[in-house]
Amino acid sequence: MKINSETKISALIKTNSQAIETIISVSPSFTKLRNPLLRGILASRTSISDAARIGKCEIEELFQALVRIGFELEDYSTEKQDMSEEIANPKILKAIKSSKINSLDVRPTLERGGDPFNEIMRELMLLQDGYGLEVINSFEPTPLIKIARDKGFDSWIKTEGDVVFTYFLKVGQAKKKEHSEDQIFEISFAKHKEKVANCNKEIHEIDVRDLEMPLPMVTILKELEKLKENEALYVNHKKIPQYLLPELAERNFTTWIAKVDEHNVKLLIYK
Amino acid sequence: MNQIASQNAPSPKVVLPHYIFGGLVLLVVTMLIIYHPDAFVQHFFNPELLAITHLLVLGWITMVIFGALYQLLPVIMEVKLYCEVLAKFSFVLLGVGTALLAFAFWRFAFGFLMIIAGILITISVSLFVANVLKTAYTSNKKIIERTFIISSTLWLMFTVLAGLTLAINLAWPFLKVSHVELLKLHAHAGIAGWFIQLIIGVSSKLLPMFMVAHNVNAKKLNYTFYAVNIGIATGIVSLFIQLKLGVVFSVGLVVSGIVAYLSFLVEAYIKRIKKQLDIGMKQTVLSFALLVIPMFLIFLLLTNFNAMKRLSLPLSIAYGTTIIIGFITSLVMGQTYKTLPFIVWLKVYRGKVGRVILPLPKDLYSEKVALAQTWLFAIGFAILLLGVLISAGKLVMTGGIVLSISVALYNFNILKIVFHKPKNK
Repeated sequence: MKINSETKISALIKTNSQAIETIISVSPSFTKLRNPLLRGILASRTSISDAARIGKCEIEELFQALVRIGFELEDYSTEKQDMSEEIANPKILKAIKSSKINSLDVRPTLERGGDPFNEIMRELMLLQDGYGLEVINSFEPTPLIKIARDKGFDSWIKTEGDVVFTYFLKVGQAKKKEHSEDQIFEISFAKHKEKVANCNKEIHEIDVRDLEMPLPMVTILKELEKLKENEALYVNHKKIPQYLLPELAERNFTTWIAKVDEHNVKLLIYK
Repeated sequence: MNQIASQNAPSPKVVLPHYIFGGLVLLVVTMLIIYHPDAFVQHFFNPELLAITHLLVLGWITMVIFGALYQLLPVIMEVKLYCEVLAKFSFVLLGVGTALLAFAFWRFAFGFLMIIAGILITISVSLFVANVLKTAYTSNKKIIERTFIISSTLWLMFTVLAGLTLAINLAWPFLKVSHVELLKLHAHAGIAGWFIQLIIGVSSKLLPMFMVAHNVNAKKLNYTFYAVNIGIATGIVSLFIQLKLGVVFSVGLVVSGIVAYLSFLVEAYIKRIKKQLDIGMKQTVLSFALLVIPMFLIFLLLTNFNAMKRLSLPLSIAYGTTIIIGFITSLVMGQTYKTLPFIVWLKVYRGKVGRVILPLPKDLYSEKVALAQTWLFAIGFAILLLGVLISAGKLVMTGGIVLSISVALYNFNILKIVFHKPKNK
């Protein structure tokens, strides 16, 4: 398998399970990888270059060790993205000074073998303007920093012994979606039936017609959060849900709407 | 296959100021009632009552309706609001114009100030009407709600133009008909043409939705539409040429239209799936109960028995009071709890719905405060009405005091909703 600095650790392990021990041999801070639960969480979000920084070792060493067990090195370029913040954004320091900081210690979650990702994202989403989030962790949460950056958060990392403090503060707007056009269409009921029959996904059906607003919207969005890639949501609705549409567009769902009559609308939603 | 635009709702910045301004004006009005209760116990053409009435109908009711409509038009017509900038201009002009107009009335200063105020309001309303019509004509939904909204805005335009004409006529008389008769014309174009029709158009969509009632027969509303519009038009012509029979006929027609609409609401109420009414809907029910009073009063006023002569002035004021303070004000207050929390909720929790556990719109205000507000309002209004009927200034003042407490609580809840900060349970 060809590897480069952006290859994910999980891909390495999948190809060759020896990779775990090899990486640990380079830097003992990767013993976490032996724990299958932690591995599941970390490995899929961490690239080799991230690993080198977290493990405080040279990426070159990692590559050499990996080549020894049979990986091939792709045209390796040294231009690695440096995501760690040497100099903190003054706004973050200001928030820390004025103790406008919500603190979240994710170490207990990690110890239980849980994934703190959703926990952290939820706290980030609920931050008030001007407030920062302090995430207390045992390693540098590089993948998270990247995702948060896309959502307009700046970050700063401070290490004290084994404990890593990562600060997040909203400084900009979330990055625009990749595609600018909404994927929401109105079609005839007959066409809609065809779509449902041919969408090759497992259909979940819900009926929100007897719910008071905004429960239809809340229910649909909750269902969509649970929706897997091979599934689609079929909704029986009373009207075209005007306030739901922006949420669907923002979450990149494709939506097919058919009006049966003035009080009966069908929606087919999937990714 | 049609692609649908996802983002039709206007920015909350356009909508929210209308609610805040309206709530404050209503509070000012209750203060004015306490300060000058005698406005309600003399001939209705008196400076204070005219000032109070215009603050209520323009600064409070029309103001909140403008804001709410900017939010609701996209829902009802499934298109984007034509222009948000027009809406902002319209807001400022209506606010300033109404304040000036009320001041001019209070001072009984007929002349330039009043006419300038009238012109500002006319421009504001023109911008609003243009915005609504432009929005309505981009929609291809030919539904009865849309028809009502369009015709109500045209009546609003007529009412405001008639008002401006009256203001000019007060300064430099040029119309031959008695001013008091013309005032009736202006008032009823506003009440039946603008308020009642707008309320019918919006509520026939919203109330069944809030009560979760399916398959309510909307055909009745077609009758309502023709009855109300032909009724007002006949009434206005009859008032202008002073044809008593025409006035009686027109009143009968309008009232029959309203009855048809009420039967539509009763049907929705019976068919509702959501049996337990929340506080906003309870106050709405109260307001419709109050609507029945003026529907009887108007016939009483029209019969004009000799024995009634002495009573006709207090009854006229009672008639106006039950419509504007009794029915419309309590309806708007009740419906605030159904519209405003949702608007703010959506603004605060956009993108988070379904992902984390969030408060619901009803958690944005204090239900206890809303309940106290509703009861105080009912009690305060009853005292006020009694004071009007027996021409007792002290009672009117007492009613005003109770109402002002109710309205203060209402304002507390509005501000609590508008300044809601995000939190999860």
